[in-house]
Amino acid sequence: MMQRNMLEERLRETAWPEPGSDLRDRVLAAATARVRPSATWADRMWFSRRWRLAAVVLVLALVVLDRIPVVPGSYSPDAPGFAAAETARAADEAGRQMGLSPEQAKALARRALIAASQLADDSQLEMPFLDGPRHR
Amino acid sequence: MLARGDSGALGEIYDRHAPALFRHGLALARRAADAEDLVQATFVRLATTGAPLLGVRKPASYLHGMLRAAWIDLQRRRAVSREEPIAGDPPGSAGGDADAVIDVRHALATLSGHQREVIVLHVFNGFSFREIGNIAGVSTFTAASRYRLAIGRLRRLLGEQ
Repeated sequence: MMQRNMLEERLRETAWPEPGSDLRDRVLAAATARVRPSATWADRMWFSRRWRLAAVVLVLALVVLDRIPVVPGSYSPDAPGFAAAETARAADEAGRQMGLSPEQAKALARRALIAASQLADDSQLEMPFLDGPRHR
Repeated sequence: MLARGDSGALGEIYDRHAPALFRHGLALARRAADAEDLVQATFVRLATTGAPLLGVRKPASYLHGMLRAAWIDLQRRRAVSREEPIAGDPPGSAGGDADAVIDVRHALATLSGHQREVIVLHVFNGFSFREIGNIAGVSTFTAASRYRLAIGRLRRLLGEQ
């Protein structure tokens, strides 16, 4: 009885028919016509509903959070954060004019800031004068 | 490369895998013309689906799986279950005598399609039984069992001459 390894070797020695010489050209011609280039990020942005929605939501979120001005290059005085900052600045000025110490004036300004704005985040407001000896 | 629409990549993939794919197609379809159609269908699928090979760990197994799917589609379209003898040029021998080669071919032709497939994939294309199982959609045990049965049959046909 023929051993398994001998049989496999005999099989391997058998050369099978090769594909026709024209098959390569035929296959590549048929396949190349179907090659689909990958979409660029701009294509995805334009044609994908998910991408469009995500972009709109992101812009809306940034506007709502007041991280970007509505008009480029400007900061609206009507914005809640701006009004709160002005209120705090005025409280700080008034406290100093009344003879309060800088620390007490800052505390007063912080209270005014909290009271003036419930919408603005403290981190969004730029209040550099609260941390520096502006009127010393 | 395919992701960038580089059709030259198809040529490289063809040169590397087409002979093995053709053997696999011939084992399944038993006709050279059908085997060529299966190879073509495989590459058309590859081109149509974009660049799947980039994320594939074993591209050869993936391509053979695609060829098998194309064969199933071909069978469904034709709804033909009868098998025909392997056509095309009779296989030559690497130095062996022609009678022995023809005997091998005839012995292979007596196997079932599944058995012939596992013989071709394991002996000629070098796939492990695990890979064959993935390609054929069966367990590793089933692939090995098919091979054992096929080898046993070939041994009886060829070894007792």
